[in-house]
Amino acid sequence: MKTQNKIILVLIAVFVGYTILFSVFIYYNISNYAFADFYKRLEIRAITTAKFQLEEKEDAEVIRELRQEHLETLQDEKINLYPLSSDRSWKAIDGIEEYNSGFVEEVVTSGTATFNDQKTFYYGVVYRSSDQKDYLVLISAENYFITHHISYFRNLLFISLGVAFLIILLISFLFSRKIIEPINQIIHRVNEISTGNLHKRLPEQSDNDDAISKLTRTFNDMLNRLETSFESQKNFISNASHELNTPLTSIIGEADVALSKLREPAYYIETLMTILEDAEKLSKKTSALLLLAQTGFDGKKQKFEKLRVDQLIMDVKGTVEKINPKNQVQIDFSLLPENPSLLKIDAIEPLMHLAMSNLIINGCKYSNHEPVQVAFGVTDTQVIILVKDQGIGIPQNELQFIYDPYFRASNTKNHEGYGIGLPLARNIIRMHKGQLYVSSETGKGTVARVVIPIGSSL
Amino acid sequence: MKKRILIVTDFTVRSLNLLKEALTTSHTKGETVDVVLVHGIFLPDSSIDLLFYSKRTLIKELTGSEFTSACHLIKNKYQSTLNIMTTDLFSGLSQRSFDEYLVKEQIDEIYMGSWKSKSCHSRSFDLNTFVRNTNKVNKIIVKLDSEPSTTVDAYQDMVELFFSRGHVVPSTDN
Repeated sequence: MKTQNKIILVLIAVFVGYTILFSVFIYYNISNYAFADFYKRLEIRAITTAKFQLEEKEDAEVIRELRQEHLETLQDEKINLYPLSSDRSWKAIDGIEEYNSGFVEEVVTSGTATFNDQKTFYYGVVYRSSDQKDYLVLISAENYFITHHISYFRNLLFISLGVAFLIILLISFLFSRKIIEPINQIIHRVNEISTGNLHKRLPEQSDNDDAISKLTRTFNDMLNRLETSFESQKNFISNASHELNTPLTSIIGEADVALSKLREPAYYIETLMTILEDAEKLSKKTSALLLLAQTGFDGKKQKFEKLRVDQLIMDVKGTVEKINPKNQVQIDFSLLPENPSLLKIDAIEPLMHLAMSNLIINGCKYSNHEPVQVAFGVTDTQVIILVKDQGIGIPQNELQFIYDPYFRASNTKNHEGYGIGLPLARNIIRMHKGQLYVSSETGKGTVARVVIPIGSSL
Repeated sequence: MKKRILIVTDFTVRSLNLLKEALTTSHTKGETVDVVLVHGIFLPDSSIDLLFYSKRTLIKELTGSEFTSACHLIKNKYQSTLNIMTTDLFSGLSQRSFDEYLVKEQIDEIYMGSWKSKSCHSRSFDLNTFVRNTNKVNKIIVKLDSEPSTTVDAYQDMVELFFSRGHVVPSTDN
């Protein structure tokens, strides 16, 4: 069953159940009251009638006037007085047979009794007059409220029940749709995301902490992690194909030339030396590249740990210079805080390493190995890392696309690359609740700013 | 030795280069300093605005988030050199009131930039004129090696704060 239908059903059951309970309660109480009230009215008529018929003249006259003036005659009102003998046998009384015998019996034995058939209500009382004689007073009348009004009242309740049902149906339908709609939207959006467009994210509507926002955030976090792991593989391939080709070509070339004809031993030695040198470079590069790519492959769970930014930058400098010895990184300590504990961030070390080296390698690559300046400082809440190069820059109108995977700016034709590094770096920084800003001027250089919140001081 | 330094600011990150320069100088000398960042601004003209005039709210209004984080950045760097840093507004109209302000605040040194400061409020005025003409205290003029940023990027100034170096211009008027 669809969740929406479930919600509708539950809502209807609850509300209709409540309305029915409410109606039954009202109906029961009103009719009960109508009965009790009517018997009271019969009683007062029976007593007054007995009084003015059986008592002393003066008193009786007053009561009779009172009764005639203030008590209206009920519909089909009928009142009979029968003298009771001392042995209280009533069966022989003339005209008593029109009353229900059980009712009369009860009146005689317990003093008063009530009885009703569908329309007519009966009240009986044994009246003892001032000269100590007992009389049986029986009064009957039609209860107009019960016969006419109660059915109208019943119909009214049924109609309002029906109307309430319709309103509840409508409300629960609208309500459930309102509840379900954002979830359906999320499902729709998540369906659109596949391996081809993993860089897409669900729009986060608000900052509040309701379940839908949490769900969206959870999905986005998951997508961040997924994309990062996908891309770190691609990044490796991209870096490797770029960096490993050059020394390999050189080795192959040297060997080829040496083998083309018979040569002097000195030439072989020289060639082998060159080859060895290149091979050593290659080995260094491979190990550095593997260091970057091993994230998630060492079987360890990726954990957020305390990481000092200065340490990280120094490590990255090492890696970057190993990957290509022509890369130059200058670290600017001019705004290094005096208190080193401020430099700690919560980070997954290999990932942060990967992100920072991507940013710095990009700087080196697009500035033809001009020095890249890296500076960092700490504000009250965040660590700021700046990577500044003097490279070719990014055209202003293309800045908005640089985080799209596989996008390469129009002025990068002379540089190898696949457009993976920057999106990956941004993903990793996002995973650390940080932000990456890039600003650039064509021909002058690019500045990447990484802002990461300071680690909790534990 | 404890010094009190006045720094002319226009609430841009660029003006904080003066602060950086001042603190670097004091740091190498091993001094601790108190710093007052001062911005020149006229009092409001209308009486109603004057009634509700509050320095604190106005300063809050003028300081942007970039400026605040840059301040923290420098504070963290020079924790042991920088003793107290306050921000103040100067609203005097005459050279004499400025000189008196310097005496009252017990200022020992003034740092001002060689570049033209931005006016960050409609009533702002250039405090540098007063600074240039005063001879109560030691004035230090700082020149930056980078041009003021032309881009609209808010954080370009932040980048400058990291990478630009200030130079003290030898004073000629003394």
